[in-house]
Amino acid sequence: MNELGLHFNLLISAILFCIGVAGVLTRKNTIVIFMCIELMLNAVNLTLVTFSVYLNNINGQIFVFFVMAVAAAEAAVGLAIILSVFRNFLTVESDEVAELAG
Amino acid sequence: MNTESLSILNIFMFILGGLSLVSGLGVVLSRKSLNSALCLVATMFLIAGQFALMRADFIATLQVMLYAGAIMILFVFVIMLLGVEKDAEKLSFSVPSYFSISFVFLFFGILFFGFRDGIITSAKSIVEGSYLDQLESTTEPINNFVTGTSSNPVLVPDLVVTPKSIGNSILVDQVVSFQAIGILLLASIVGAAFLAQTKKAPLLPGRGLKAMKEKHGSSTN
Repeated sequence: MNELGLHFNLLISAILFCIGVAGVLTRKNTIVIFMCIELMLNAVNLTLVTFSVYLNNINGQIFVFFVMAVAAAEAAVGLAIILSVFRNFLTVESDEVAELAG
Repeated sequence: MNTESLSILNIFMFILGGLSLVSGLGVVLSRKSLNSALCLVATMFLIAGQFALMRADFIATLQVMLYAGAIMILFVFVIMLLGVEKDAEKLSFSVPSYFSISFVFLFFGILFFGFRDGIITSAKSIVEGSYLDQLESTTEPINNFVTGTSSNPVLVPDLVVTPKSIGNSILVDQVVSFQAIGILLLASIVGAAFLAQTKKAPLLPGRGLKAMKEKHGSSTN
């Protein structure tokens, strides 16, 4: 991969990460917030693989493997939490589930 | 090979990257969460295409199988199970969201500041260079790149990611992390099953903890 590809991929992953942050901060639907977190993880994975290929070092790709495993665990637990919140409150909007904070 | 030349790989990279930005915006801006999920599937496939272009085949396959296959199936199942799609969410922008969006732009500015010079150089080389000639003259392996000074270039060989090197890295070098991932996945399975169980599930007579307690209590009384 040449330098042009490196810079372009870094730019793309930075923009994707910022889109994910904007979604987490502005959306109300808990499932959409969760999907934006997955988007941020994907952007970071793109950065890791780009540097791994550019620097000829396999460790970046192994790191992406571990990130994917953690993301799978996180998705399972997070969706179970969303399910039990919906069972108790009959909504997934984060505004209406503000029992602890005012 | 000139490092700043535009190869056919870069053109595919531009197409995939631009499309992934569009579908990433679709995740945030869709009013229905099912549309967001479909946009996220598209984004993950496009990023898997980027991985395949960079010849990271293992990660590209994992991306399709694990993210676009398993995790997104979970998301779509939960969206359809909850069935909260009757009224689409209105994208209301209040004062806090303006704050957070400006924070996001500030964050992107900080990120962009880091690789600003490289971006500007690459963009200049696209605009100024006659890249179509370079495109036709590119006969060398695409993945090789040149490092070192311009007077003394050093050709760096391809990164060869074989199953052997992956297994060697995961099961020898990173074996502690691999075991820790196994424990984490087991804990998350147990936790998810515990969190998602229904408390008011009807128990068949003579089965389950409640029936056993009743039987036990009646026998002691």
